[in-house]
Amino acid sequence: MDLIKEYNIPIELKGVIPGYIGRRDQDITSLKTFVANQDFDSVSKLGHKLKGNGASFGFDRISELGGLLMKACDRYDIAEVKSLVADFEGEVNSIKSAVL
Amino acid sequence: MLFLEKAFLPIFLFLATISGLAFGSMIPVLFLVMPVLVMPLLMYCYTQVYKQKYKALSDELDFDLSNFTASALGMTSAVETSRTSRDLVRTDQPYKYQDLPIIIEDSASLVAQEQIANITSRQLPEIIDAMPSNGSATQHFTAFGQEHWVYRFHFKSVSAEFNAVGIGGLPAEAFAVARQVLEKQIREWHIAREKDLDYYGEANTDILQNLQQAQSMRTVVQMSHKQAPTVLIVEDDMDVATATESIFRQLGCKTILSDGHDGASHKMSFQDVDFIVLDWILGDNLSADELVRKSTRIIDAFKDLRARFQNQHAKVITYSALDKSKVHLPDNKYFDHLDHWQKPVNYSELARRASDMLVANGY
Repeated sequence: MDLIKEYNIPIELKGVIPGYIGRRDQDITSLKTFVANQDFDSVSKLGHKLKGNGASFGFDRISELGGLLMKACDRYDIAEVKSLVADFEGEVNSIKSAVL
Repeated sequence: MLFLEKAFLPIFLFLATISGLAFGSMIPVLFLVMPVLVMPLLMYCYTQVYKQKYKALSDELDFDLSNFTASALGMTSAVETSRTSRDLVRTDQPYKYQDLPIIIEDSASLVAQEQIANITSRQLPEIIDAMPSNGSATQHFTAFGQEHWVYRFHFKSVSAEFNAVGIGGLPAEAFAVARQVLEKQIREWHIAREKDLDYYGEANTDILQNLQQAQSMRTVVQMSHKQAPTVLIVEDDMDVATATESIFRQLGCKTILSDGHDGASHKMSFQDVDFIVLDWILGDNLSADELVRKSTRIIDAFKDLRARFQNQHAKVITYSALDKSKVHLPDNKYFDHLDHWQKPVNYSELARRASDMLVANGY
């Protein structure tokens, strides 16, 4: 699979993608902990970060999920947050399977 | 300060004598105190020796420029007969150390080309690095007939100006003459800046006095030195910082990274930056407007920083997931809020915006 075409990854950043994915893996672990603690503030901050960095690497869906996480946290909607965290994990795994 | 420095030795000796007379019976105490008293004397002697050495370095050049010129100009007749064989080539591309924009047409010798390339990429940056930051430099190599070269150099910054001319049989010789003059001017500039004075280094144009063929000289290489812009990226998310840095580097900019907590305000003040890409929320309750206020206080405290920033404001681009309405950079006398880029921005769009911004600002 041509990852660059599939995800529109800038060729200049191809070398740093594995590191980026690794950090998103850590984000999944953090998000699950925050959700277990119903720590909406931390989830929102992480969502803000994901919204900012996803598109820069060609992962528009990650940016979108980050924005949705922020909105769900504003509403204190734990069910929506859990669902979005699962979506985020699925997205990271599909990128990982394409990269690694 | 100078008066105190000169008066130091007599005052010290006077006080030491008085102390010796008054406390003659306290020899054991003086024995202990002596090293403390002697240390300033040793330091004073050391500075005097250093000054003598420095003075020797600052003295006149070790060769006579007028003799050199006379010998160079002694070959004028040969020059006249052979001056038609070179073609005018001008290059006006921005100066870059790595990517030399030198084009010399066929007849200019390979040796000359190599020398100019070496001077421009290695020797000239060394000289410019010793000059004030935030200045702009221009150099001209002019071919004069087949065997003579004239080198002209001009550098201007807020507080100092350097000018030099050199003549030689090869570009390297012409540059060497100018370099001697420039090195002397740099030493003089250091003395002037110690006294908080502006400096003007006058060109040694006397070596061109007898040059009759000035009209026939043709510029072979002319380069203007406009340093690549420096972009400070203040971003707490290392992934965004990496992507942003990659773009600006590809656009030929120098980049400096900061996560906002590693002395970002000092980098904004002391580093010679043209553009600042500033994330609005930097974590740990630090926001960009606080950073700007901090930097402003730092700049206010230093005269040279005030002069530099008043001469040229740093341009700030706020870069945040927040909407523009939520981002308000306080009015500032040193920083201009150029634009707001709202995240998420994909890579190609970010590259386009960065490129447009540089072009719009004359780069």
